Amino acid sequence: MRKVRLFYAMIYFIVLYLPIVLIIAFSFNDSVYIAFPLKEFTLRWYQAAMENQQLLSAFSNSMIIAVTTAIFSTFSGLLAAMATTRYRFRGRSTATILLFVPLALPTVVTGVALLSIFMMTGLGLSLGTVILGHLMICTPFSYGVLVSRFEGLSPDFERASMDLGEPPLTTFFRVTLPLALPGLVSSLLLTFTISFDEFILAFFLSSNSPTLPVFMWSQMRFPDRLPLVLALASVVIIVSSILIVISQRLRSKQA
Amino acid sequence: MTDAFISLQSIRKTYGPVVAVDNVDLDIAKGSFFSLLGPSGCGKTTLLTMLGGLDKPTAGRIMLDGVDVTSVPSYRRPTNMVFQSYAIFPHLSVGDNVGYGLRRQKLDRAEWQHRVDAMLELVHLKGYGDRQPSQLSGGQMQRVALARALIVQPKVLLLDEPLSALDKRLRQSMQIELRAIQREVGITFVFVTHDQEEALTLSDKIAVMSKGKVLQCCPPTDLYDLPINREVAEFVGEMNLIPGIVKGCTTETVCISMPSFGDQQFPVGGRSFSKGDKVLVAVRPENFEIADGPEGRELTIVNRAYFGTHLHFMMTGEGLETPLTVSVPSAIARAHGKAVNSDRMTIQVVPETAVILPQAG
Ligand SMILES: Nc1ncnc2c1ncn2[C@@H]1O[C@H](COP(=O)(O)OP(=O)(O)OP(=O)(O)O)[C@@H](O)[C@H]1O
Ligand SMILES: [Mg+2]
Repeated sequence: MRKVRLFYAMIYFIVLYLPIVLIIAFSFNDSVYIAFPLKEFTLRWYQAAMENQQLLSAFSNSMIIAVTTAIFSTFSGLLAAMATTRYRFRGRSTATILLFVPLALPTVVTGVALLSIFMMTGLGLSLGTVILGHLMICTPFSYGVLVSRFEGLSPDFERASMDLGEPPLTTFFRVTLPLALPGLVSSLLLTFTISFDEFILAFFLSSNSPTLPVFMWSQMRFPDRLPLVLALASVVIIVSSILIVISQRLRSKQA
Repeated sequence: MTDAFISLQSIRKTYGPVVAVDNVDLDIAKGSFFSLLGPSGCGKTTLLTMLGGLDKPTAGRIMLDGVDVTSVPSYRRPTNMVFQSYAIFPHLSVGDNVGYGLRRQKLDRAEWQHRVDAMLELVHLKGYGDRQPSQLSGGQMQRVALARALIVQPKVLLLDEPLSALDKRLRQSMQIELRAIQREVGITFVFVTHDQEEALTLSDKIAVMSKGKVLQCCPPTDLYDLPINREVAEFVGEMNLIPGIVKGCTTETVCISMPSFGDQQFPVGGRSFSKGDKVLVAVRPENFEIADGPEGRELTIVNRAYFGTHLHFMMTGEGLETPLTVSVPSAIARAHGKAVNSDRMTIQVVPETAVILPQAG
């Protein structure tokens, strides 16, 4: 039985990580063809990526979108988490459920819906519209991370601060914020990663200022640029993994 | 009694259908050590947090030093609280915890440090300022919480079962320290506890609570010697309740007929009785005497236990619903060696020490 379980786990991880390993391997392969056997080791795809102006502008678009999304979704997640854990009000449980509903919708549906709203209202498409779309899917994650942080924190700390003469606002800055800090950092990293990697909403809402994933997708039409895309993908994979690991570490450490 | 330092007037607090505090009237004298005593869930914490302004009463008025503070928020009230959980800020050092409430006074660094050090010294934690709260023991946390609340020199210090998390020895030494600190700073302490022994040793005055109501509010000796009803009698200390019926009454004495002890005269003690009243004669275990006189009754010893200074007996007899607990000092037990070691022993109630309570309630 033990062996079977071990075997199953091995298969699981191989299926999960083999494609990723292959992507990284081929990104260093000195050939435009994605085929074995591997040729010489090269960094030329990485160099080509660094010199591609379209790619660099897509990268900066993605950074702007991801940073803004991370900050705003964490901020609204913080407010929502404080509201639902620190105050009792009518409709509290309904609000909690409604916060998670956007996650249940297929992103394509959300994308189409947002696209039609933006076109209908004449708002047009821009980086801002992608940010709005990403806020919709990132805020629930921020909320989830922060709510678990707040639920583990006794409200007595804030009550003690108020009792010692600090009004609600200074109590927030002197007690609530520092205590919620690991959760905030974790939420920032997580939402940054989600926004940075997101494709479907960005594809619908970005028009002529593509994000990195949208740019990568557009390059797939040109077979000779495939290794360049692989190089880019490798960078994204590694950076995202680091951010996720840090974020998870912070979440588990806080308990 | 409107000149009381703290005055709670018809205070009520409800959470939906739950009545946590039910029409409480209390007066607390300045500079006193006042305790709220009662079983779990009787509304002690709720009453205390309303005093501190952390919760608002549903109805009623709170006066503090002649000012109506009912709707003054906690950060503007001259009260400070030591939380049941201590609530020591985990992200601040011990010193920063203690000095937390000083920010609004805009002290310079040296003065701030001086105040914090002085306060740490008061609670015997000199030199602990740079430690992190996670490095403290339970007793030390409790002292930090105390120092943090006292440093802002409140008019009233509210303590919510601050000693309940400590082991017995530490608790006893902290009780003595707490009382010493209270005398030293002269601040009014309102102390919540469910430990009656603790309340009796520490307090100037005790309010016994049950189900949101205050049953009795008086000095500890009165509480022990003159409980006003069955609930208080049973909650504070050990009490034997012997059923009886009033046979007759003069201005001085009341004659009660007990199936277990026969007819006996008791001092009236300012209460009024009428013939035929069903009463309970409340007798502390130490208020029985070994005797052979006409008032005495021979009862069966079902159990005995030796407690060093005292010998405890469980005794049953005719007309008793529950066994009596009788406590005899060891020296006296030795003098009555024969009676104490047999199966049956004759004891009598000392009338002056007994309290007559109505049978209902
Ligand atoms: N926030 C609240 N919401 C609903 N009910 C509450 C709330 N706080 C207290 N209660 C109820 O009010 C009653 C009194 O609670 P309180 O905490 O004052 O009791 P306590 O005497 O301090 O008990 P303990 O000794 O266990 O601390 C309890 O029945 C409790 O369930
Ligand atoms: Mg309590």
